[in-house]
Amino acid sequence: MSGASGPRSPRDPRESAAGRRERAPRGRALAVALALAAGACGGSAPSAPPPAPRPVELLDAAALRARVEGSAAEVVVLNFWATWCIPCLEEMPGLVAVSRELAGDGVELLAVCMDIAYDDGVLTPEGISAFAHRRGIDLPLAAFTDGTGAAVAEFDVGALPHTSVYSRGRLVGDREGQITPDELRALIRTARGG
Amino acid sequence: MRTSVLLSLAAGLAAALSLTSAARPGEDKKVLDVGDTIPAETMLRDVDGKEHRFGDLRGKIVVLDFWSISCPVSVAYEERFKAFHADLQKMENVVLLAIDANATEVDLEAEDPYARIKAYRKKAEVRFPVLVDLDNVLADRLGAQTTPHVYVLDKEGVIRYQGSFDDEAKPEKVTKQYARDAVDALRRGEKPPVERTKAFGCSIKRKKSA
Repeated sequence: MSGASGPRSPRDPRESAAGRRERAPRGRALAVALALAAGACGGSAPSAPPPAPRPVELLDAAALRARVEGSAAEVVVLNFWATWCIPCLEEMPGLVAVSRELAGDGVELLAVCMDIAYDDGVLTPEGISAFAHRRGIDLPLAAFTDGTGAAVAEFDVGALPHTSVYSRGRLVGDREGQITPDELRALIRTARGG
Repeated sequence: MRTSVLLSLAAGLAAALSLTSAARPGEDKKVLDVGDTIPAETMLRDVDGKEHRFGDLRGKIVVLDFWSISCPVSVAYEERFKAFHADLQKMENVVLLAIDANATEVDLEAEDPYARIKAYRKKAEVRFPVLVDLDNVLADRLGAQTTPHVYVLDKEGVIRYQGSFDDEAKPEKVTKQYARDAVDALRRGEKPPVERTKAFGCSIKRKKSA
């Protein structure tokens, strides 16, 4: 369990915040380098080229609500996470797997980053995009731009991570704390009425 | 809404249980809620080794905050807690105690297991006591989930408020001062205007799961 928590669990919050500020541009440079390398190597790469960095949608509570209600997908999964949240990062590979499995099958998973919600200065949307790319979080990304009060009041988010499953805009299940791929699949099945 | 109904049910059940099973085995596993009393024998040490027994705090309004040196949300609240502490020190018989229940912030192998907490405290100029809940005894008993997570106890040790310090992690957007309002109400001999809120933050890194 602790072995999977990643090499950069922050020891000191100042150190980690400063580190993130410094690392973000390097992350972008890395993304460009990887993209160039992938292009140069062509078919000789041993595995599929790494996915490109994802854009980050900036959504306040009302926009996120509208996003869920207006989605073309039958089932929308919101996963609330943060860059400093180790349990969130641990569950991401499972979420990416479920998202890939069910994409195009009426299921949309949106990873909603909460960093901006408690501190505007820590991470920019570009920083979140670079971070997600670096950590292999290949999911549609959003950043919650309202405060934590709105997250609690409107989406019942307390301790991160928090995963909510909606069916045609209606909340049908949620989970506070880490969720396994099987638990998520079960919630999605329930959302589809079977 | 759903949560508050459940909490009310839990509170009712807890109250019913406490009347009948105060001394039974298993009682010490019951999660305490608003209206319940923290047992007098509950004791935690602070990072300087001083014992804090809850029975000795009777006669004082006690504010507890589950706290962290590495959780950005807890850290974002630090200045607010420092200001709150300074204000409470001007009052009689009101204390603020931070509780670190994160196994990840203590190193039992080190010469001083609390060196990191002490270094943070010094750097952040935190003057309130920091108690260490090494075995998560208090965190489990209170059902504390996040940092920060605040509990306000009256002079008899009864939990009268639990939840977030205020309604917003960004200081400029705060509109409700739940913890301050609870203390003010208790000092007037009144019931806190809000008894429960949901706390937002980092999950407490409990010993078992570390």
